[in-house]
Amino acid sequence: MINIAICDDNKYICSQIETILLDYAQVEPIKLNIHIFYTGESLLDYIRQNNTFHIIYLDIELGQMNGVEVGKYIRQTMKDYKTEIIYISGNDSYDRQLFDVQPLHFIPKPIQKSTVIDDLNLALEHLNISEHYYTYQKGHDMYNIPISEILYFESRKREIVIVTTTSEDTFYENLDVIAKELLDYQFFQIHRSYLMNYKHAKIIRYTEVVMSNNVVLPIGKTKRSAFRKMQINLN
Amino acid sequence: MFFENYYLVYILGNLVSAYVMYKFIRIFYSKCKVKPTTEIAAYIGYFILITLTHVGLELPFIVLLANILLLFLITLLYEGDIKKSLLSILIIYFSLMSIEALFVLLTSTLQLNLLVPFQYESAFGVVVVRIASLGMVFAVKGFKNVKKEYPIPSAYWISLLFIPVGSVIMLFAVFMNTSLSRTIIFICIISAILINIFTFYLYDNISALLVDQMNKRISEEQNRYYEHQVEMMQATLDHMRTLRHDLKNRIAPLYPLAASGNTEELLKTISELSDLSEITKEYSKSGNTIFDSIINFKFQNAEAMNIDINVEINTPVALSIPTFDIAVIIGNLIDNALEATLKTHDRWIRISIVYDKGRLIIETANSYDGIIKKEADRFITRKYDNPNHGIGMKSIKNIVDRHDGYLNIDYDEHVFKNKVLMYL
Repeated sequence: MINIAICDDNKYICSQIETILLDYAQVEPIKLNIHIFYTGESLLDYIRQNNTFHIIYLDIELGQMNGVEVGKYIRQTMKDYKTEIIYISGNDSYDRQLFDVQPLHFIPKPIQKSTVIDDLNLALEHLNISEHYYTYQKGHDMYNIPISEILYFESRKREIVIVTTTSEDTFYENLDVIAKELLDYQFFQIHRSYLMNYKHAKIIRYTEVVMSNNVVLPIGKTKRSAFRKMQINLN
Repeated sequence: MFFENYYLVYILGNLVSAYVMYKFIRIFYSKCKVKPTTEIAAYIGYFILITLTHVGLELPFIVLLANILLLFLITLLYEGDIKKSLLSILIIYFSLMSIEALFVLLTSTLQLNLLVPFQYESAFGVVVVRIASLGMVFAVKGFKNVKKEYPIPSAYWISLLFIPVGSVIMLFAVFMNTSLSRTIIFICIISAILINIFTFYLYDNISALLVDQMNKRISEEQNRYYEHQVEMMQATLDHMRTLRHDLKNRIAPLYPLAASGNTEELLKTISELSDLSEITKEYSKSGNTIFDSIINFKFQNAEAMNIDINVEINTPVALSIPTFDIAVIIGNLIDNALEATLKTHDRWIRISIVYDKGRLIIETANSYDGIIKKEADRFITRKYDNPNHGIGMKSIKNIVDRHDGYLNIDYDEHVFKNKVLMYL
């Protein structure tokens, strides 16, 4: 069951997206649970009561609290980077802040059926990955960490520091081994000592990467041009 | 005893030679295609092979050929074309050889013959020659323009190539002639050295001129874009003014029609009015003036030319990249796409400009007839009368490089794609 929220102050837009999604769910083998909100406040209230969504279709120009603020709250205050946010927008000019929320995509008004479905499928693809775990051993205990929550691995001498959205831990392993294990999950070794989750990169420059927790990781001199070349193939 | 000593000195001398070669080649080339360790290994290989050839064969002519061949192989490790390789090796090698000849003359009686083994085996001489060649490398280190990767025209290349070759041929002729006095030989050798240094100087200057010329053409092209930019903004403003003026005039007759209740005539007039608003087709409405104005301007005739245009822009309104640079990149990409797609019947262009993770990713794709023209690894336009062959792509590359960005070109039989990555 995929939990979806649609949040727009225009009731017509809400029902339009809902209809498109429900129609699609009838022909495809997916189960959708759709909630509709007309204000950003009501959406956040609902989330605060320990409800989670996989996907949020979020209007940018909401009444009191706008879509940018809602998105920022979800990402920065609630530290939720897993929920895919898809912005609905009336005009095409976007504020820079909007991009810090790392939305999956923008849907322009008038709403096109194909865009809504394409974005749903893209989000489902990402969600599929987010259910995978990385396992490491420390002493006699095994730890399972959702891959989507890992920001990066740092190698310090013979130890590995694993940094996630909520915590940090150390264990013994070789960075190359981890890199090989996470080959399919867009983890990139940008430096001799850093293995970085591309999904958690907030700002990428030629020489460094700012992660979603604002830690800045350097890109090794010999890795720069290869990493740059790779980025162009990713997007 | 003397014999062994000589070889020891000789081997050490060759080590210095390899270092001199490295220094010399680095004057000509800045970018190495392989890892630093491979580069060093190549020079060590050069040293070993050249020592073995010398010890084993002892024929000056063979040593010379082996030297040039090995150096040529080494230059292949660097970024540049074959013409540049040949020219730089000959300049390097013959400059060094002239110096060597000079010292041979100074330190022992000269009896050089190309086909007999070396007779000159003074350890002192070997040392002096190496020191002198080191000195020479440091003396010409100031030439920086030869590093530029701009390919020089063939006529220049042949002229430049002929000078060192000619000087050496003449030098050999002088050596063969045993009747000449030492003073004359000395003057000839000095002349040969000077000729080679001056050639070096000329090569350096020609490279600088060519690069200047290229930059001038690029900036002219960029200015042209900027002028266009201004023109199109003015055109848009004028258009808006006319529309506003027209609107007043067109709306005026509606009042009496509405008042008199003539619905049929009223509807007709209104439908004419709605046509008016569709005159300006907007492909890009990002709110970012620079993207919008260039894209809308460039595509203003697209519909008339039967080109299907698809533009997707997700970018912030304000970007930290200079307007000028963006104008040149997008403008050139669109120009190339338009030029190419017009050559087919199935005409379409897709553009996507996305801001993501602090980067700007610009993608264009267009249909084309599948004919590619490439020159020395760069794409050139097929406008034959255009003196600015391939300037557009060169301008883009120039700006992209300056921002540490990346330009990727990809094509198959029907679709041509460009992808630009810029860090902001």
